[in-house]
Amino acid sequence: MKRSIDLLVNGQTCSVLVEPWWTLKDVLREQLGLTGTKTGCEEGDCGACTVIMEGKAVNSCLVLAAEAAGKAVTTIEGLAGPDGLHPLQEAFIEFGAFQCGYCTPGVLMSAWALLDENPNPSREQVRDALAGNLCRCTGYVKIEQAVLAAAARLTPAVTGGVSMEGADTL
Amino acid sequence: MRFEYCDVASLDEAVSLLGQYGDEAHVLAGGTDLLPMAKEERLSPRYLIDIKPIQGMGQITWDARTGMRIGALATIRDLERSPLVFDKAPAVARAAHLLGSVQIRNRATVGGNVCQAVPSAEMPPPLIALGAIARVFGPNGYRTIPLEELFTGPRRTSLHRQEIMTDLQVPEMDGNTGSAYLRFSPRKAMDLAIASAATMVRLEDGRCVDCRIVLGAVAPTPLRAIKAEESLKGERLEDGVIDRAAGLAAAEATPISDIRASAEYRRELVKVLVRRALLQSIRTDGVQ
Amino acid sequence: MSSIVVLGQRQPRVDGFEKVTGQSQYADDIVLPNMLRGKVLRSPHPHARILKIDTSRAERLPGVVAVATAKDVPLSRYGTGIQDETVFAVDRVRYAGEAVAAVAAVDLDIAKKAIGLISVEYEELPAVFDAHEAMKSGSPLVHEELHTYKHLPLFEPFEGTNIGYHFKLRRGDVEAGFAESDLVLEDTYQAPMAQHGYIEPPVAVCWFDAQGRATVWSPSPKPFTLRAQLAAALQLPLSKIRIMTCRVGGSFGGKGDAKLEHIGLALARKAGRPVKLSMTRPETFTSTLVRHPATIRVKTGVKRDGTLHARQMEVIWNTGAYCASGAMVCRNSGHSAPGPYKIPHVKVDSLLVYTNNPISGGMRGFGSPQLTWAVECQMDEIAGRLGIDPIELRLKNAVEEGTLLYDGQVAHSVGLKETIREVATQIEGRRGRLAPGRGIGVACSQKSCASGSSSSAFVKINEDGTVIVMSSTVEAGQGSDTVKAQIVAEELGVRVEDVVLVAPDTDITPYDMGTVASRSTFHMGNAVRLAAADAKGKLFQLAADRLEANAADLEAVGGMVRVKGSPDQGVRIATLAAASVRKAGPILGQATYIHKYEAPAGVTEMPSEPSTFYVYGAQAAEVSVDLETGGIDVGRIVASFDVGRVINLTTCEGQVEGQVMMGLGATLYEEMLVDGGRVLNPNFRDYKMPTMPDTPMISTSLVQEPHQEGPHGAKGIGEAVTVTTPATITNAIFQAAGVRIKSLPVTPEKLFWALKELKTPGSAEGE
Repeated sequence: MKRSIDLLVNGQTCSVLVEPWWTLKDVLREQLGLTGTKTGCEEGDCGACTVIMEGKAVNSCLVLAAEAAGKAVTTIEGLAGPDGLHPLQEAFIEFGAFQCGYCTPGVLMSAWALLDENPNPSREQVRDALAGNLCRCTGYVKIEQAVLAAAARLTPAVTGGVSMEGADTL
Repeated sequence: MRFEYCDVASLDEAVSLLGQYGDEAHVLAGGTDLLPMAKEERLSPRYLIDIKPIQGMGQITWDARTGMRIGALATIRDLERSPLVFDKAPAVARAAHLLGSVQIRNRATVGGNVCQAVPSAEMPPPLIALGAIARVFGPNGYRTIPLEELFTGPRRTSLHRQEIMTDLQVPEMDGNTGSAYLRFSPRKAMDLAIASAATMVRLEDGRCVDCRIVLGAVAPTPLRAIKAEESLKGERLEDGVIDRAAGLAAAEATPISDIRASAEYRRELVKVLVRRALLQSIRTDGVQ
Repeated sequence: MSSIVVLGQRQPRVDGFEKVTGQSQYADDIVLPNMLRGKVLRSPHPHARILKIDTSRAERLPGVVAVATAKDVPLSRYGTGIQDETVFAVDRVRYAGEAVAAVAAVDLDIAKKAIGLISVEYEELPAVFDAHEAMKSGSPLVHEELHTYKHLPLFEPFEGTNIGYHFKLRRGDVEAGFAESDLVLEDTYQAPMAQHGYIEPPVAVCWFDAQGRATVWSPSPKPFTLRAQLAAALQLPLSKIRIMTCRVGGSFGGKGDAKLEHIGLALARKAGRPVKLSMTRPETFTSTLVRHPATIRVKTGVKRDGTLHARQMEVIWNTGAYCASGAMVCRNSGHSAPGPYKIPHVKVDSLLVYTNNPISGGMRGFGSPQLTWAVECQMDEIAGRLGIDPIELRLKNAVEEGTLLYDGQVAHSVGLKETIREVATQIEGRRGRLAPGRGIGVACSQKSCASGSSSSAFVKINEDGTVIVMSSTVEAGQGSDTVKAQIVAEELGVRVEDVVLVAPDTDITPYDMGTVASRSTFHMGNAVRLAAADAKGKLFQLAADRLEANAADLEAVGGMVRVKGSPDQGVRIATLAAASVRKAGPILGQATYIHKYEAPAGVTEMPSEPSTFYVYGAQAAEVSVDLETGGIDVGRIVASFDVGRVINLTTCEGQVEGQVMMGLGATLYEEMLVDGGRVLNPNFRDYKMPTMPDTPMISTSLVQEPHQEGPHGAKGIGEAVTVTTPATITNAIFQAAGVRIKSLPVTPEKLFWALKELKTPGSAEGE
């Protein structure tokens, strides 16, 4: 039986009528029209559906909409701010850290959650944070470079500037 | 998958609903194993009872008398990042780190990982190796059970239909105790273990006075390699002794062949993992 | 030599903003008014007669609007090489996962429920799964009427058998060659069934518009191929079909053929409403395309000094229940099967065999990954047996500019030796000084490109001087939109940001053979460049009048047309275009590019299907093996590839890195496990693709050996790299552990048993 729940998505409260078995991903995409969160495998093995819930990266295909009631959810649509793209997004463009773009929203969510928790991650920590995001196109190299570059730019005191100029691959 | 969803605010409520719905109900915690099972129609619950709102089941605490207490609703990520767990039960922290991905760890709970009782589950072996005791709440109140006695078969526990695991108590280890958790899987992340081994060794005057060797993914349940453990008691842990224990542990394992690996290979891995885990246990101890 | 204002740099991708904000529109993101959701009922049996289909209960379910089966579509077969496929199974199913019926309902829950209400009575038939078994006389036949199917003249199936096609390549006399050789090696290698593994499962949105035209939103990288297949499958004229492409979440050869679109259209026609059909991940495993399992036998005769003298290959491709692009895979890879070497005596027999398995089709590399792996592993063996450095062995035999290739083509644009030397330099000093359990392996490769295919483009100048490019090359992640924009911007002297690309649409963008075969930069790059040049010529005509100069003395720079050498004598392109629209019509350039092979002077041999170009390359890998468990860790991969000319450095590197990882997955983890035609691991839990922590250090070097007909000398990069990686890693494992595994994937378990056998012969169980 459908129930009415309030979801707090990207800072906005939305009331939706959901079946108990609908996942947060289903509701984001179908009821709220937020199609940036993608369907990849429906079982938590690929990370294409990653969103941030209460500050933590989760596979939205494994969260029931009912479980998300009243919880703050952030999706890719909430990453850019009123002043423009987030440094992560800018770094992804600069470094070419995407190709088909399908895994990209999920990757950005995992990266954002990482930098929120750990503003100066090591390479190993970036790899660990993104281990649950499969990418078939990029081979991950430029994703790693972009996340580290964005981290450095968000916390400039920690490392010097990083850019693509003259950059070799790892 | 189709089901009704109810969330409960107390253990009493949960127990009552489990009684009311019987076999058609399933407890929902993290959902990272339950929901894929439901989607693949390997499980068809008609009622999911979400116990996450129950207060007081998610903490990790410690006191000198009873040791560490890990709430069943503590997420695997909580365990991975807890300074307490890292200090008191590093093998448990290690296992938590190896489980799935960050997204999975942010949802999966230690209670769920234990009670879903998948033979290759990450958390039971190191918890059993450290002598964890499970506390369970049911219609008759609380009871405790040594964790290794909880498992009765693949995806089967001795929990009564209306019982819910509430927490795990991990006894305090003294300074002469070391532990380790090792597992083998093809990729560097995301995989279920093909074989795993958790060890705990306590030394006195350079001799083993207590030990546990717990194997994962090589039997219907997490398996204590009792004969291997016995072979170490009273001995100095030199190469020959360790090798013999590893061989005994491999012989005690009852792995199956499946799409991930053959039984024979799993048995061979046990030998290597047990030996390495024992060596690591005594190294963390700092005592030779 | 053109100016390198925009070429060869790290031009940011033109599709960057939409992708990093999640605004790209993939097929599943499309919502149309009144749209229904569809689901497909698929056969659980690998081979069975359909006795009865009862859809009545599904039809009665509230919310179900249409149910379709074979009786709702014409009885016609379609296909690429051999027309053997139907929209739904008609009288029998030939693989587990074949479409039997479909429903369209108001929501997905009802559609799923409705599928469960369709009952099908099957009579199971004897099935065959192993290609060798399928070749034996007396084997169950997958297609009893195989000889009656229409097919391209090239592909002649064998009546009364499961053999769809037999490719032959002959040069010299291999038997004589072997007799003259000092050493003859013969090995058999196995490659498993594998997945493309794109993260976006296939989806199609289908409807009939108000004029009764079948219209489809599809992530197909080859819209004209899809249109032709739908025309054949649904017996519609081309004028009644329109394919609009949306963004593609990865394809690698696995998307593009009709898999959902014809079913969606059948439902849409019955329902009178748009239908969205999507596949689950398990359906993607069973019911799209898989990579051909293959058995490759390589026999090589070599002289003591390492000169290759004769090579014979027998390849059995397990093509599953339908041919799809299998015949093309068999043929195209066959032409270059023996590797990028000068070998006087060559004999290749490559057989396409039907079985009751999921359909095999082209996957990145189009057969070359499997073949290159076998050949390059054996090259390593040869080097070892002769005591020759594996790098030297390859340099000694490598093709060069002007070499006469096996198929009679004269090689042009050959940077192979340079790539091998580059790799050698990068690993210099590391080899021979590694601890036990560590090793470095090398391999090299060539990847062909389709021959004689056509690409066309229109380039339109807006009144404000911005440019619209109409081209049917589909951006599937590889960066084609950006490369097209760069080439056009370079030609017209405008900014890349001022070039807009129209989404490929068979109504609007002109014919292109397909975004396949690593052909797009070359063919479509030329087409858009020529179309831009055509538009530029018209601008020059207009400007010549205005500037009172000769068109031949003009250049297009910075949004202006100006007189060469007199930068202040110019007129804005916008001005010209705006004026023209009012007086003479819009400025539209058009061009078609079809590569025609021309043999050099003095060469009379004409190859039947000369590859437009070859992309050559080499890789090295450093691995360490845990000798106790068989665990494998790839620490570093070095890749050097000859792309002709780098147009975009970032996207080129990205292609190299992505392909190295796809190759790494194929080498170490990926295998579709099939038993009795049923896929045992149809998910990403147990079909393991590499994760970020699995990525080694990857160094890329791009060699530029310009192709005289490539746009600015460019060739391609889309497939060449993934072809080399498996042998590179396998050879490194051999150097590290002393054992050679001849079946992919090279798993720790296989390695473990091989190591045990090496240590104590006769002891190993398992493999």
